[in-house]
Amino acid sequence: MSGNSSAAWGSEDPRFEDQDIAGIPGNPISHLDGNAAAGALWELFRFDIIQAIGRCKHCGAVSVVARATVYADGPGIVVRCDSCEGVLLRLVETPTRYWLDVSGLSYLEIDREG
Amino acid sequence: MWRVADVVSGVAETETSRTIGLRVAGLDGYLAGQHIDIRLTADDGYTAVRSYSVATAPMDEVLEITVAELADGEVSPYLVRDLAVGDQLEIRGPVGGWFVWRPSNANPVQLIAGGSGVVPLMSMVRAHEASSNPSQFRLLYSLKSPAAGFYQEELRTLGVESSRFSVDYVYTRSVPAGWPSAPMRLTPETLLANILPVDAAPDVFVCGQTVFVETVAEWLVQAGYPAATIKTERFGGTGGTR
Repeated sequence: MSGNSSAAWGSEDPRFEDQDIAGIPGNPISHLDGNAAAGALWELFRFDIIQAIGRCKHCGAVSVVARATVYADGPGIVVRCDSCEGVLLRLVETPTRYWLDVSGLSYLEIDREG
Repeated sequence: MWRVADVVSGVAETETSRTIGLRVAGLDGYLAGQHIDIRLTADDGYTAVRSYSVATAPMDEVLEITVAELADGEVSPYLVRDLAVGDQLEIRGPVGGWFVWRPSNANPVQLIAGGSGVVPLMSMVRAHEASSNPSQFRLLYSLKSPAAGFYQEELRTLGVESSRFSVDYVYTRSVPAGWPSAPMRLTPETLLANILPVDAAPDVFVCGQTVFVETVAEWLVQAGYPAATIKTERFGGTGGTR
């Protein structure tokens, strides 16, 4: 364990006040796990895409979708690669339509038993 | 896909949180660690969707969530303050098959909770206790203060009575009377002193705010816990989920 990591989280770092969810009024919404998109994506795909393995078209990283980074504070959901931060998937829901962009995924490997 | 749940109970968990019991018609089992989405619709048609982790074990008849109130939240103040027994909610799920614990898993398990991140981990603790799975479960619960703790009676009882479960606490702002140390921020040293060692090869589940989760996960990897054995669930900040 490097000394740096302890020092970085010393008492002056305001981020460490953020340990409890109730303690941060006004804090910008930060990113989440792939899991956070599970509900909307399940409704769309009717299988649990979060457990699927996807390949990032930008950097070639292959990873379970759950390990991707989700930004859910915009009008839709943006899922980014955990390795290169390239956009894997975008989803916008309107009252009558879905708009889905999966152009950042070159493939998905889906467990048929999952 | 969306269905109606009946609110059957609402019990204050702390001053700013509430455990809500839901009866869901046609609920066909779920996995410990999953979450539901709740959709509220205003009179003018405006909708807000938020995710809340399930706290109960999958075999329980009533599904419970624990909601922490966010000061400027759109959904959580309603759920904590206004929702009444007999009301109905629109829900989707439980969903998410990745941040889950299955009773068939033979590995020891280390759970690490920051604040209200304990909720999905509690579902795993309860599922484990209800199963005959012999593996060791250990929970490290980082809290601002004793009064902020969820499920305190149950965790205390389980910690004393169960041979398969133990719980450790880190208090960051105030400690219980007679606590052996002053309030302290979680450090790598405190973390590693209170969790199953690398040699035990535990599956690790970390849940809390994004900064907490990412910090802890990074410390674990630096300490030699394989990244593939660490699963995380980040709550984000205000307006985020759970």
